[in-house]
Amino acid sequence: MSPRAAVVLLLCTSVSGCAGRTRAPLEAASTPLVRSQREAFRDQQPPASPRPAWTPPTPRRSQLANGMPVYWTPSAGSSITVRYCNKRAGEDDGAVSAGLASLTANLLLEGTRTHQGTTFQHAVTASGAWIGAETYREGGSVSLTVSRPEGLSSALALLFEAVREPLFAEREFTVARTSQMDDRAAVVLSTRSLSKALARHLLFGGAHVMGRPTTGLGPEIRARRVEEVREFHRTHYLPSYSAIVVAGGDEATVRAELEQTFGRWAVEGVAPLAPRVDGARGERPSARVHMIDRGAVSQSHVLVAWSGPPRYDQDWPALLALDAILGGMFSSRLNMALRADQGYTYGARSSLELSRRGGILALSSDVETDNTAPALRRLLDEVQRVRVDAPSRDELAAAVRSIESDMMSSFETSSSAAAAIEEVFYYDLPLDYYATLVGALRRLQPDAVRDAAQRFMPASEAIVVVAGDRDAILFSVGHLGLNGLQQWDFQ
Amino acid sequence: MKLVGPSIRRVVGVIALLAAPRAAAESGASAAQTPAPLVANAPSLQRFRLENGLDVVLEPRPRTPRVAVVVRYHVGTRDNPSGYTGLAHTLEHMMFERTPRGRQALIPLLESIGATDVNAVTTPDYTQYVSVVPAGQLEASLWIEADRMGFLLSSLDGAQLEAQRRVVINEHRERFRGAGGNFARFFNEALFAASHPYYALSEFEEDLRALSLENVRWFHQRWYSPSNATLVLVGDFDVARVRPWIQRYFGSLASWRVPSRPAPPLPSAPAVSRIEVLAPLRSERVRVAWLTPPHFAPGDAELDILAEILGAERTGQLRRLLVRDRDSVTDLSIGQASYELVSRFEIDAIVNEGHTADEVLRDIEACIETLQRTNIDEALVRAARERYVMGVRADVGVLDRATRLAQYARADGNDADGVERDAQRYERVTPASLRQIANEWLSSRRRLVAMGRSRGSANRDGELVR
Repeated sequence: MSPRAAVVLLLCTSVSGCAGRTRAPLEAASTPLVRSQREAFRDQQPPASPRPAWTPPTPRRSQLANGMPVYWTPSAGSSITVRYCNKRAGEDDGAVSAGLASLTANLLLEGTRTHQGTTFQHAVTASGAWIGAETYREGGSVSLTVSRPEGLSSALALLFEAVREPLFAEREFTVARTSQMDDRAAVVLSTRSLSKALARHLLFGGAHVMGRPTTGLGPEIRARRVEEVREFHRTHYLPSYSAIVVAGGDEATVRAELEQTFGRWAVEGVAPLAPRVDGARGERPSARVHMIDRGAVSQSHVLVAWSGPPRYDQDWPALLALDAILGGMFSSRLNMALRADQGYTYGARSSLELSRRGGILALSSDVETDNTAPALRRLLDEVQRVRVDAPSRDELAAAVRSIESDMMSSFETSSSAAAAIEEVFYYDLPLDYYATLVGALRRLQPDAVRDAAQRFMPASEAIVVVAGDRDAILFSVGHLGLNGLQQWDFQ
Repeated sequence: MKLVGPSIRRVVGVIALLAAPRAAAESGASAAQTPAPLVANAPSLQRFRLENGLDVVLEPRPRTPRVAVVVRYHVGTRDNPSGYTGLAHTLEHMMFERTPRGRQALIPLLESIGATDVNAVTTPDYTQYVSVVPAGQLEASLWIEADRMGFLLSSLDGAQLEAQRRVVINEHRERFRGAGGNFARFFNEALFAASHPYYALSEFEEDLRALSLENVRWFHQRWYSPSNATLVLVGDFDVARVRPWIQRYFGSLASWRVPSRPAPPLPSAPAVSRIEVLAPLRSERVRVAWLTPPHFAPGDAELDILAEILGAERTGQLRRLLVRDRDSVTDLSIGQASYELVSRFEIDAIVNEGHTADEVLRDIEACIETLQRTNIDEALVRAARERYVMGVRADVGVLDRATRLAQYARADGNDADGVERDAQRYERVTPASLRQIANEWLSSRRRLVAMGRSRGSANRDGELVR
């Protein structure tokens, strides 16, 4: 008896009624297939109503007394979001000691010198607010959303406390470190995460900041000490690297409250940080296809990746449209080819993971094991097609509408608006960046998308990762003629 | 983003059209009730019912020129006949095929008018279709939705079914692969007797392969009546302009009385009280669930607050004990997953190296016994209550708002949006009511314990033992 059969048998003996699962024929339905008489108005799609073109808000920038910039944008609704943003507290600043930035950010909310342990969180709740911390490659943020204006003053004081005087207790540090090690271990267990991590490593090499995991490697995390976190905070959490982004509320009122807290923040005697170091980029591997064995699984994960340009490169609008056309919408080319046309998969998608230092462009799908090679072939054919033929104007227009709608959703609530405006600070973008981007997207020509595909997705630079049942797929994938295949083992 | 707020409800058994549904992951509404007459707590919100029974909720919210369109049918996987797992879900996929007058299939058609976030979800209790459309295309969107509701069925064919069957099978494999997927399935099938509507968490591939076009049509003809649906619009529109459109496109669609949905008695105990799953896992695992009252029923709010007190990030009492003090658990989730027929209060723990699942189970049991013996500190209850109420009243985007309003569509009460009524049930929670509910619902008789044991020699998909 095979192990799989044993499982089924055990299930049936352990759960009452399994054997009684019957399948009787369904009686005939009595309701009609068509639900109304012929009505002429149903034959013609109604035209669009004219609406004024949407323009994203442009934030206003000012400075606190200590020089910290403040970006403010209005927001509908009653809540106010205040984000503390720090350009040198991001994951790329943990490059020398990977994982340190996120470890530090996680600990900011675990108690302060004034509010120890859970009293900090309870105080935040009592002021009618939510607080959260997060890190990106470019920076670290602490976001506070106040549900009622009268709670703003006390909540802001708590935000300032968390940023300026976190406790970094030994016990909380140990817990956070364990959690980070667990996150790191989970990467190996997840086929998608492992494939992406391998692609990143192959494209940049282990010595480059983009080729390394932002959590750090297991032994690095294990060796981390709380003193390093305290030192990272002392040298990186400074007003000179920081800004405040506010969405919602009355601008003058919020400014006045900020002056009472962050405006009085002064730090002396800390040497400025040296510029970030990327590390040496590794040599490209000679093999183009990289296979990870995941045992007898019914689906393979297929990933095609390129090293991408810096975020907000001059061709950013074309790259956004290319991403949408290839895999950002349901009717994107990859999904239509692999799901709708061929039925190989539940879905196919593209992604842009780019920071100031570049990153990766990726196309991926989980496909049937038996159809792994044809699915990969079809995916690569779609990439070739977008490199050769410009999209139709209708296709481009749909992509632009999709991007614009996503952008609108970013300005629907105070918390999402503040997160969007934060990018203006992290990437030194002009204040009218979003308005300018919308204009550039609306003017985009189909040829620009094809040119972007040629520039950013050259066939010779693609790395292919296939994770699945090696015994079942090695032969067929190996015979696609893709310039060499290397096998990897992560067991 | 890691916001400190109410723990997100765990939703079990949700299957969707696309891989990453953005919303619609709330649990279902309570049993069907006659909708209340039009009363609006939120000044701009309107609710009315067409003559054919279609329930409509409108909330103008002109922040950006978009409108969220949600159509919820009050039918879900629990309505699959025996031996037809996957029927409700397959129909959900078929609902995106081309209608007789459509130029193309539904999603490309919706995307051609600028719709985004087009998706659908099938839960045990309901099936929901969502999109966000440009405000200027709202009328076209309603035309498309009504076309789908009234006419799609006549144009479905076998080739479309074959294509969607394959997609659904692929989706199922993605969701339930490996030992983790099987652990969830074994657990659900031990929680409910095979005759219970919630028994089948996932689909059986043999059922999916046996589905016919007639089966799909049958399900639609039985359940997809306008009288069994709720339409919710939230966003930038003028109610006076939109109401005639809704009447025009939906008002003449024929309706019928859908079957009453069988509601079996609330189970007093799980089908099995304990299971073990052996797999070559890195870590052991403990999952404990109690069968608890349905969504919106007395006790449901208390169990949400209990989950918050025990499991909230940074402040949860059991979390702090297991993760911080004992260091015995690396990952912990605690939640009341609320459904129309019966809910479950669930604690799921991944055990840390050097500790055992039995040791963690003992701590969980001791924690529950304490809850039953003594009142929780008033300050802790107040903080959890405030966090929860803030979450209920939180300002969200148009799509999240629309799916939330759809959730309240069948809930009892006389206000239109349900948000305030929902908030109030949390505001009434006290230390004494928590203790009473813990005694009433978190008894060992109502409990299922599942232990995930690490066995290097076991099948990687997991082996179930008693």
